[in-house]
Amino acid sequence: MIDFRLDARSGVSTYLQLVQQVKHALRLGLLQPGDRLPTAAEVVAALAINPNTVLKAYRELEREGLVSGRPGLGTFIERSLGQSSPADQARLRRQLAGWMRSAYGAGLAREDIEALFAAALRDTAREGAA
Amino acid sequence: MLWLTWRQHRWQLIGVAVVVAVYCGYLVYAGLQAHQASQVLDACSSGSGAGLPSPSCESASSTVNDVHSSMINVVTFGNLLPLAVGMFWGAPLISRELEQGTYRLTFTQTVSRRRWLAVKLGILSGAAALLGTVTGAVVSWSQQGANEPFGDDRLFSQAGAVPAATWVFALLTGATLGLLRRTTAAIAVTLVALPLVFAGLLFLRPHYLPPAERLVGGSAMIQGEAPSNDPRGWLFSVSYLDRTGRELSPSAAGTVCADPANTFPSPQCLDRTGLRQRIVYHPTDRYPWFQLIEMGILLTAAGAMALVIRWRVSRHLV
Amino acid sequence: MTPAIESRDLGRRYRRTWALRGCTLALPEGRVIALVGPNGAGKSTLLNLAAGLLQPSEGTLRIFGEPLDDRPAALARISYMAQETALYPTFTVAELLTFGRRLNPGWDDRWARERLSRLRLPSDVPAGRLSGGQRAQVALVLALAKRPRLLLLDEPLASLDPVARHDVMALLMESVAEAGMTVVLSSHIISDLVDTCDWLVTINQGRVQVSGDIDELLATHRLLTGPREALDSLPPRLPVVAHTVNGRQASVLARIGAHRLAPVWTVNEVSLDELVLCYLRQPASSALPGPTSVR
Repeated sequence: MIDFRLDARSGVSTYLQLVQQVKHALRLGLLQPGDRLPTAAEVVAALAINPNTVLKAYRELEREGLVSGRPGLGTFIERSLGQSSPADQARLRRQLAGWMRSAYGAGLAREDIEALFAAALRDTAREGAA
Repeated sequence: MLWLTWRQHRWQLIGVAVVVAVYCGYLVYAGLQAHQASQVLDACSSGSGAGLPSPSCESASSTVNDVHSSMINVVTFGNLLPLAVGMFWGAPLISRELEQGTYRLTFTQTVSRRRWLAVKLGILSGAAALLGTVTGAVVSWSQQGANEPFGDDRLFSQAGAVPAATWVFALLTGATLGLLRRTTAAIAVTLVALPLVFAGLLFLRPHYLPPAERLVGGSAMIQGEAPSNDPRGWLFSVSYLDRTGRELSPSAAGTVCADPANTFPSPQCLDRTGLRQRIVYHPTDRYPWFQLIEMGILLTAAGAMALVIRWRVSRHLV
Repeated sequence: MTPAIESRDLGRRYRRTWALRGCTLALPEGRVIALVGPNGAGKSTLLNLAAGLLQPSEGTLRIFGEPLDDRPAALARISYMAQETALYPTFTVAELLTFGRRLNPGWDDRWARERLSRLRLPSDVPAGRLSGGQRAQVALVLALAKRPRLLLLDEPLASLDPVARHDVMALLMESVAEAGMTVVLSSHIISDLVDTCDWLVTINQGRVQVSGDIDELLATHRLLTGPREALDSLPPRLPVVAHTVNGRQASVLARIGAHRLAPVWTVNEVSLDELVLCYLRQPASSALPGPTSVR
């Protein structure tokens, strides 16, 4: 199960935030195929938002083939995002944490690390594209 | 709706019922006392014959008088009981809903305003009529052999079936004044308005029917100073006519009689001088009619007020 | 589809002042409708009229296609919750439930009890001694357990703390998800309505300015910034809601539609707050034909 949360200052519309959070959870393996997403009523009871917003997000996920609605049962995860195995993910996360600790050790602030990470991400994306 | 009416008015209903119970309890107790004492008195007058009154007979006699006079004082106070119904049952009925804003809760439930009003007024009117009937019956019973209600301003509105109508009228008066929207204002105005109406009825009551007139000679005359609530009926005036048809006041007639033993003319004087006594009165057999007329006035007014309330509540409340 | 609320030239006068005038509206069924406007703009009057608590001074009003009247069948369709959440102060929570059960044939007692126990509301405490947030929750449960087709909420969040606001809204939204009724919600705090409402009605000085789907309104309105000289070059029939000039810069809120603009204009999306503020600051903009299509 996934707990949604909202960031009012993100500037991202609410339904997109929900979509992104499901995708994020899929990438991290927190949601797996066969898992049930919370019903609109459950999401709405926690977030106090219009149920149509939740339905819109679920429709978007369904359109992308990530989930499917089964009438009377709920909305279920169809496929996962990201091809890495949980073991790979854990290893990479450990490595990244080690790198970040050394960055802190070198006197970098959080913003510096974020900027560096984003830049490195861009560089590798460019290499991949090239 | 029954539940709601009971829930909202239970303390007022219980409060007034308790006061009525105390009132009636006292009258029953005092009435029994007076009854016992008058039985002793009866025994005194029939048994001892011409002998001197014994001390127990004297005390019985004073008991009867004491109990009767304190009862009539209490009954006079009993005229205030309908005020409580108007102030505590009637006045808050609508004003409190408006004041607390709860009319918005009540009038958006699945009950039409007319039904809401009909049930509330119906139950409260029924309770008022019931308590009024009980007090009327108890007062009538307790005053047997003491005071005639017909012609007695303290008693007429308290005896028989009249209180039932008075109490319903008081309820509707309070409820109508509740349209003033402020509960305290509605209660205060009810407290002033009802006594005014009751006083107005006192003035109106003798004129419900045109009075009867009777000319009598010495044998059938009323002797002495006549009370207004005589067993013969409700007396307004006693005067005398001489042979020429001239009307004389009792004191003028007394002068004509020139009887030093009596302030008022005696039967012998009437026989001697040919004066006739003129009585203007409502005969006793009119008492039920007077009760019906007073009840008719009160209930018609109550009905008219109920229509006003219904009109306001169903369309123009806010 | 029959509109949930349909009014034509609806007006209500208190003595000589018009609280609401010329209100012509069609609000679609199944929406969560925000009724926005400054204090005293006529929001409460409109809601009271729709709840049947007030009689119109002029015009007509239909609820689900039928004129309003005082019949149980008509009353059963509507629930209303008032600004000050007027509950009988001496009634305990349990007694208020009994009240609801006995006065409403469609009452869902199981749901009401389940909901109150989930909200951890004490059932034996008089309503007068509950906190404002608890009172609002009880009032909302009373309004919802009636199972209305139309729920009218007059400033339900006023005077509530942030936690209570969230809880009341969550209860409301959950019930909308379950039952799918139409909700009309008035507020003068726009942030309460973002993410919860999907239809916007603005009402200003007793008149309706805008009535439309919020996504559609946000999609059609744009905030333009550019040099003030460029104001003259705006398309002549562009519906301008408001414009301000600050030094050399001009800002314009417009319903842009298919109009093409000179490249000097920077075009930005608007937030709901900005949109509402612009309309409310320009009472005259009510002259603009707002998007009133019902879908």
